[in-house]
Amino acid sequence: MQETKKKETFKILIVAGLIVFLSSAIGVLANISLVNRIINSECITPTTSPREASQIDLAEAKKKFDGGEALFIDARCPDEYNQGHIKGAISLPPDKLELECPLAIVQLPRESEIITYCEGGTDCQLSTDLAKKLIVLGYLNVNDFFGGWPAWESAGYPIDPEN
Amino acid sequence: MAIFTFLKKFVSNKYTSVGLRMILGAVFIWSSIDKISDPEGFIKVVESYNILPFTLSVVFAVALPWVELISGLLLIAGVYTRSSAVVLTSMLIVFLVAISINLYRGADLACGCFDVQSESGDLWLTFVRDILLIVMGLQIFFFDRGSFSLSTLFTKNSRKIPDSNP
Repeated sequence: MQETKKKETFKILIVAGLIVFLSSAIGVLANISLVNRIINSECITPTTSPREASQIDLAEAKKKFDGGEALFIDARCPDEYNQGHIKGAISLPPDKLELECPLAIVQLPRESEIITYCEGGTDCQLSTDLAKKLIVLGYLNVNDFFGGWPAWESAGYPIDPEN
Repeated sequence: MAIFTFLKKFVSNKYTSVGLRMILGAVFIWSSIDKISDPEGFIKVVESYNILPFTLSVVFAVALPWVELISGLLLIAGVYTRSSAVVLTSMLIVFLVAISINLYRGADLACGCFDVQSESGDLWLTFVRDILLIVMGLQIFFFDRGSFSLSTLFTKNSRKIPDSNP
Protein backbone atom coordinates (compact mmCIF):
# COMPACT_ATOMS: atom_id res chain seq x y z
CA MET A 1 0.00 0.00 0.00
CA GLN A 2 2.79 2.38 1.01
CA GLU A 3 4.75 1.35 -2.06
CA THR A 4 1.93 2.01 -4.54
CA LYS A 5 1.26 5.38 -2.94
CA LYS A 6 4.91 6.33 -3.38
CA LYS A 7 4.80 5.21 -7.01
CA GLU A 8 1.59 7.16 -7.57
CA THR A 9 3.09 10.36 -6.11
CA PHE A 10 6.21 9.88 -8.22
CA LYS A 11 4.11 9.50 -11.36
CA ILE A 12 2.11 12.62 -10.53
CA LEU A 13 5.28 14.65 -10.09
CA ILE A 14 6.79 13.35 -13.34
CA VAL A 15 3.65 14.30 -15.27
CA ALA A 16 3.60 17.70 -13.54
CA GLY A 17 7.18 18.26 -14.66
CA LEU A 18 6.29 17.26 -18.20
CA ILE A 19 3.35 19.66 -18.27
CA VAL A 20 5.60 22.53 -17.18
CA PHE A 21 8.35 21.59 -19.60
CA LEU A 22 6.15 21.11 -22.67
CA SER A 23 4.03 24.20 -22.03
CA SER A 24 7.14 26.32 -21.47
CA ALA A 25 8.60 24.98 -24.70
CA ILE A 26 5.43 26.01 -26.57
CA GLY A 27 5.59 29.45 -24.98
CA VAL A 28 9.24 30.02 -25.82
CA LEU A 29 8.89 28.69 -29.38
CA ALA A 30 5.78 30.78 -30.00
CA ASN A 31 7.75 33.89 -29.01
CA ILE A 32 11.17 32.89 -30.25
CA SER A 33 11.67 35.97 -32.41
CA LEU A 34 10.76 38.30 -29.54
CA VAL A 35 13.10 36.46 -27.14
CA ASN A 36 15.90 36.57 -29.68
CA ARG A 37 15.39 40.23 -30.39
CA ILE A 38 15.48 41.17 -26.72
CA ILE A 39 18.33 38.93 -25.60
CA ASN A 40 20.59 39.75 -28.55
CA SER A 41 19.74 43.42 -28.51
CA GLU A 42 22.20 46.13 -29.36
CA CYS A 43 22.23 47.15 -25.75
CA ILE A 44 25.29 45.04 -25.05
CA THR A 45 27.44 46.31 -27.92
CA PRO A 46 28.29 49.94 -27.37
CA THR A 47 29.11 52.42 -30.05
CA THR A 48 31.51 55.29 -29.56
CA SER A 49 30.19 58.80 -29.49
CA PRO A 50 31.77 62.10 -28.56
CA ARG A 51 28.48 63.58 -27.42
CA GLU A 52 28.04 64.89 -23.88
CA ALA A 53 24.87 64.82 -21.86
CA SER A 54 23.46 68.29 -21.50
CA GLN A 55 22.74 69.37 -17.96
CA ILE A 56 19.31 70.77 -17.30
CA ASP A 57 17.76 72.44 -14.26
CA LEU A 58 14.40 72.08 -12.57
CA ALA A 59 12.56 74.53 -14.81
CA GLU A 60 13.77 72.81 -17.99
CA ALA A 61 13.01 69.39 -16.57
CA LYS A 62 9.46 70.48 -15.77
CA LYS A 63 9.04 71.93 -19.24
CA LYS A 64 10.11 68.64 -20.83
CA PHE A 65 7.87 66.75 -18.40
CA ASP A 66 4.88 68.86 -19.44
CA GLY A 67 5.79 68.34 -23.07
CA GLY A 68 5.17 64.65 -22.44
CA GLU A 69 7.76 63.46 -24.94
CA ALA A 70 10.69 62.82 -22.63
CA LEU A 71 11.38 59.61 -20.74
CA PHE A 72 12.58 60.16 -17.17
CA ILE A 73 15.01 57.54 -15.91
CA ASP A 74 15.68 57.17 -12.20
CA ALA A 75 19.31 56.21 -11.63
CA ARG A 76 19.00 55.62 -7.88
CA CYS A 77 18.77 52.16 -6.35
CA PRO A 78 15.43 50.36 -6.73
CA ASP A 79 14.53 50.81 -3.04
CA GLU A 80 14.71 54.58 -3.33
CA TYR A 81 12.79 54.43 -6.60
CA ASN A 82 10.04 52.40 -4.94
CA GLN A 83 9.66 54.93 -2.16
CA GLY A 84 8.96 57.70 -4.64
CA HIS A 85 9.97 58.90 -8.08
CA ILE A 86 9.05 61.39 -10.79
CA LYS A 87 5.73 60.41 -12.29
CA GLY A 88 6.16 57.98 -15.17
CA ALA A 89 9.91 57.53 -14.59
CA ILE A 90 11.43 54.09 -15.01
CA SER A 91 14.07 52.66 -12.71
CA LEU A 92 17.51 51.98 -14.15
CA PRO A 93 20.59 52.14 -11.95
CA PRO A 94 23.70 52.44 -14.15
CA ASP A 95 25.14 49.14 -12.83
CA LYS A 96 22.11 47.30 -14.13
CA LEU A 97 22.72 48.52 -17.65
CA GLU A 98 26.05 46.69 -17.72
CA LEU A 99 24.55 43.35 -16.82
CA GLU A 100 21.41 43.32 -18.85
CA CYS A 101 19.28 45.24 -21.25
CA PRO A 102 15.90 46.24 -19.86
CA LEU A 103 12.99 46.07 -22.25
CA ALA A 104 12.16 49.72 -21.78
CA ILE A 105 15.57 50.52 -23.23
CA VAL A 106 15.40 47.96 -26.05
CA GLN A 107 12.17 49.46 -27.29
CA LEU A 108 13.35 53.02 -26.99
CA PRO A 109 14.20 54.67 -30.31
CA ARG A 110 17.71 56.15 -30.37
CA GLU A 111 16.31 59.63 -31.03
CA SER A 112 14.09 59.72 -27.93
CA GLU A 113 14.54 62.43 -25.41
CA ILE A 114 15.86 60.97 -22.15
CA ILE A 115 16.26 62.68 -18.80
CA THR A 116 18.30 61.01 -16.10
CA TYR A 117 18.20 62.03 -12.47
CA CYS A 118 19.24 60.84 -9.03
CA GLU A 119 19.59 62.24 -5.52
CA GLY A 120 20.68 65.63 -6.82
CA GLY A 121 23.52 67.91 -5.82
CA THR A 122 27.23 67.24 -5.99
CA ASP A 123 27.21 63.82 -4.33
CA CYS A 124 25.00 62.42 -7.06
CA GLN A 125 27.12 60.69 -9.67
CA LEU A 126 24.59 58.03 -10.66
CA SER A 127 22.58 60.06 -13.15
CA THR A 128 25.75 61.40 -14.77
CA ASP A 129 27.10 57.83 -15.04
CA LEU A 130 23.85 56.63 -16.51
CA ALA A 131 23.69 59.49 -18.99
CA LYS A 132 27.22 58.68 -20.16
CA LYS A 133 26.38 55.01 -20.61
CA LEU A 134 23.24 55.82 -22.58
CA ILE A 135 25.20 58.10 -24.87
CA VAL A 136 27.73 55.31 -25.42
CA LEU A 137 24.83 53.05 -26.35
CA GLY A 138 23.95 55.46 -29.10
CA TYR A 139 21.20 57.62 -27.62
CA LEU A 140 21.31 61.04 -29.18
CA ASN A 141 19.29 63.18 -26.82
CA VAL A 142 20.29 62.54 -23.22
CA ASN A 143 19.80 65.16 -20.51
CA ASP A 144 21.08 65.01 -16.95
CA PHE A 145 18.64 66.70 -14.56
CA PHE A 146 21.02 68.06 -12.01
CA GLY A 147 18.59 69.03 -9.25
CA GLY A 148 17.26 65.50 -9.21
CA TRP A 149 14.67 63.99 -6.96
CA PRO A 150 14.90 66.43 -3.99
CA ALA A 151 14.36 69.47 -6.20
CA TRP A 152 11.43 67.84 -7.99
CA GLU A 153 9.80 66.60 -4.81
CA SER A 154 10.10 69.87 -2.90
CA ALA A 155 8.71 71.76 -5.89
CA GLY A 156 5.56 69.63 -5.49
CA TYR A 157 5.62 68.36 -9.08
CA PRO A 158 3.86 65.10 -10.03
CA ILE A 159 5.31 61.96 -8.45
CA ASP A 160 4.60 58.27 -8.09
CA PRO A 161 3.25 56.84 -5.85
CA GLU A 162 0.90 59.76 -5.34
CA ASN A 163 0.51 60.93 -1.78
CA MET B 1 -18.75 20.00 16.78
CA ALA B 2 -21.51 19.72 14.20
CA ILE B 3 -19.92 22.54 12.25
CA PHE B 4 -16.59 20.77 12.31
CA THR B 5 -18.10 17.56 10.94
CA PHE B 6 -19.93 19.50 8.26
CA LEU B 7 -16.75 21.28 7.26
CA LYS B 8 -14.88 18.01 7.06
CA LYS B 9 -17.58 16.53 4.87
CA PHE B 10 -17.68 19.61 2.70
CA VAL B 11 -13.93 19.68 2.17
CA SER B 12 -13.68 16.00 1.31
CA ASN B 13 -16.82 15.97 -0.86
CA LYS B 14 -16.20 14.99 -4.45
CA TYR B 15 -18.45 17.71 -5.82
CA THR B 16 -16.46 20.34 -3.93
CA SER B 17 -13.37 19.32 -5.82
CA VAL B 18 -15.27 19.30 -9.12
CA GLY B 19 -16.45 22.86 -8.44
CA LEU B 20 -13.00 24.02 -7.39
CA ARG B 21 -11.47 22.41 -10.47
CA MET B 22 -13.76 24.50 -12.67
CA ILE B 23 -13.07 27.70 -10.72
CA LEU B 24 -9.28 27.31 -10.51
CA GLY B 25 -9.05 26.16 -14.13
CA ALA B 26 -11.12 29.09 -15.34
CA VAL B 27 -9.10 31.60 -13.29
CA PHE B 28 -5.88 30.38 -14.84
CA ILE B 29 -7.18 30.20 -18.40
CA TRP B 30 -8.60 33.69 -18.06
CA SER B 31 -5.39 35.08 -16.60
CA SER B 32 -3.26 33.49 -19.30
CA ILE B 33 -5.09 35.01 -22.27
CA ASP B 34 -4.07 38.61 -21.72
CA LYS B 35 -0.46 37.56 -21.08
CA ILE B 36 -0.30 35.41 -24.20
CA SER B 37 -1.69 38.17 -26.38
CA ASP B 38 0.73 40.78 -25.02
CA PRO B 39 4.04 39.05 -24.26
CA GLU B 40 6.03 42.30 -24.19
CA GLY B 41 3.62 43.77 -21.65
CA PHE B 42 4.01 40.73 -19.44
CA ILE B 43 7.82 40.86 -19.69
CA LYS B 44 7.55 44.36 -18.23
CA VAL B 45 5.34 43.04 -15.45
CA VAL B 46 7.83 40.30 -14.56
CA GLU B 47 10.62 42.85 -14.69
CA SER B 48 8.74 45.18 -12.37
CA TYR B 49 8.81 42.51 -9.67
CA ASN B 50 12.58 42.99 -9.75
CA ILE B 51 13.46 39.43 -8.75
CA LEU B 52 14.83 37.52 -11.73
CA PRO B 53 17.80 38.57 -13.83
CA PHE B 54 16.59 40.12 -17.05
CA THR B 55 17.25 37.24 -19.47
CA LEU B 56 15.55 34.79 -17.15
CA SER B 57 12.56 37.06 -16.69
CA VAL B 58 12.08 37.20 -20.47
CA VAL B 59 12.00 33.41 -20.72
CA PHE B 60 9.81 33.15 -17.62
CA ALA B 61 7.38 35.72 -19.01
CA VAL B 62 6.88 33.98 -22.35
CA ALA B 63 6.68 30.48 -20.86
CA LEU B 64 4.49 31.06 -17.80
CA PRO B 65 1.20 31.99 -19.52
CA TRP B 66 1.31 28.79 -21.58
CA VAL B 67 1.85 26.69 -18.48
CA GLU B 68 -1.14 28.48 -16.94
CA LEU B 69 -3.31 27.91 -20.00
CA ILE B 70 -2.48 24.25 -20.51
CA SER B 71 -2.71 23.20 -16.88
CA GLY B 72 -5.95 25.19 -16.56
CA LEU B 73 -7.41 23.32 -19.52
CA LEU B 74 -6.22 19.96 -18.17
CA LEU B 75 -7.72 20.76 -14.78
CA ILE B 76 -11.13 21.56 -16.21
CA ALA B 77 -11.06 18.56 -18.52
CA GLY B 78 -9.99 16.36 -15.65
CA VAL B 79 -7.00 14.94 -17.47
CA TYR B 80 -3.94 14.47 -15.24
CA THR B 81 -5.95 16.38 -12.67
CA ARG B 82 -3.63 15.87 -9.71
CA SER B 83 -0.52 16.72 -11.73
CA SER B 84 -2.15 19.91 -12.99
CA ALA B 85 -3.11 20.75 -9.41
CA VAL B 86 0.55 20.30 -8.42
CA VAL B 87 1.68 22.60 -11.25
CA LEU B 88 -0.86 25.33 -10.50
CA THR B 89 -0.31 25.19 -6.73
CA SER B 90 3.46 25.36 -7.16
CA MET B 91 3.07 28.39 -9.43
CA LEU B 92 0.80 30.05 -6.88
CA ILE B 93 3.43 29.45 -4.21
CA VAL B 94 6.07 31.05 -6.46
CA PHE B 95 3.73 34.03 -7.00
CA LEU B 96 3.19 34.25 -3.25
CA VAL B 97 6.94 34.45 -2.64
CA ALA B 98 7.31 37.14 -5.34
CA ILE B 99 4.42 39.15 -3.90
CA SER B 100 5.77 38.79 -0.34
CA ILE B 101 9.21 40.02 -1.36
CA ASN B 102 7.68 43.13 -2.90
CA LEU B 103 5.33 43.72 0.02
CA TYR B 104 8.39 43.55 2.26
CA ARG B 105 10.20 46.03 0.00
CA GLY B 106 7.20 48.31 0.14
CA ALA B 107 6.96 48.43 -3.65
CA ASP B 108 3.76 49.77 -5.15
CA LEU B 109 3.34 47.25 -7.95
CA ALA B 110 0.50 46.33 -10.20
CA CYS B 111 -0.03 42.62 -9.78
CA GLY B 112 -0.21 42.05 -13.54
CA CYS B 113 -2.08 38.85 -12.81
CA PHE B 114 -5.03 39.34 -15.13
CA ASP B 115 -4.34 42.60 -16.89
CA VAL B 116 -0.78 43.25 -17.98
CA GLN B 117 -1.45 46.93 -18.67
CA SER B 118 -2.86 47.84 -15.26
CA GLU B 119 -0.88 50.59 -13.59
CA SER B 120 -1.29 49.97 -9.92
CA GLY B 121 -3.06 47.57 -7.70
CA ASP B 122 -3.43 46.36 -4.18
CA LEU B 123 -0.69 43.82 -3.53
CA TRP B 124 -2.29 42.79 -0.22
CA LEU B 125 -5.47 41.85 -2.03
CA THR B 126 -3.39 39.83 -4.47
CA PHE B 127 -1.66 38.16 -1.52
CA VAL B 128 -4.94 37.06 0.06
CA ARG B 129 -6.39 35.93 -3.27
CA ASP B 130 -3.26 33.89 -3.91
CA ILE B 131 -3.59 32.06 -0.59
CA LEU B 132 -7.23 31.33 -1.34
CA LEU B 133 -6.29 29.81 -4.69
CA ILE B 134 -3.56 27.72 -3.04
CA VAL B 135 -6.15 26.25 -0.66
CA MET B 136 -8.29 25.35 -3.68
CA GLY B 137 -5.35 23.66 -5.37
CA LEU B 138 -4.56 21.61 -2.26
CA GLN B 139 -8.19 20.50 -1.93
CA ILE B 140 -8.15 19.29 -5.54
CA PHE B 141 -4.86 17.48 -5.05
CA PHE B 142 -5.97 15.64 -1.93
CA PHE B 143 -9.66 15.02 -2.56
CA ASP B 144 -10.29 14.86 -6.30
CA ARG B 145 -11.71 11.47 -7.21
CA GLY B 146 -11.97 12.00 -10.93
CA SER B 147 -15.68 12.81 -11.02
CA PHE B 148 -16.83 14.59 -14.17
CA SER B 149 -13.50 14.14 -15.84
CA LEU B 150 -12.49 13.01 -19.30
CA SER B 151 -9.95 10.52 -18.00
CA THR B 152 -12.54 8.71 -15.86
CA LEU B 153 -14.89 8.68 -18.82
CA PHE B 154 -12.39 6.63 -20.78
CA THR B 155 -10.81 4.45 -18.13
CA LYS B 156 -13.76 4.04 -15.76
CA ASN B 157 -11.62 3.83 -12.66
CA SER B 158 -12.09 6.71 -10.31
CA ARG B 159 -9.66 7.21 -7.49
CA LYS B 160 -10.66 5.65 -4.17
CA ILE B 161 -10.15 7.79 -1.14
CA PRO B 162 -10.52 5.98 2.19
CA ASP B 163 -13.49 7.35 4.08
CA SER B 164 -12.25 10.12 6.30
CA ASN B 165 -14.77 9.24 9.02
CA PRO B 166 -13.34 6.70 11.46
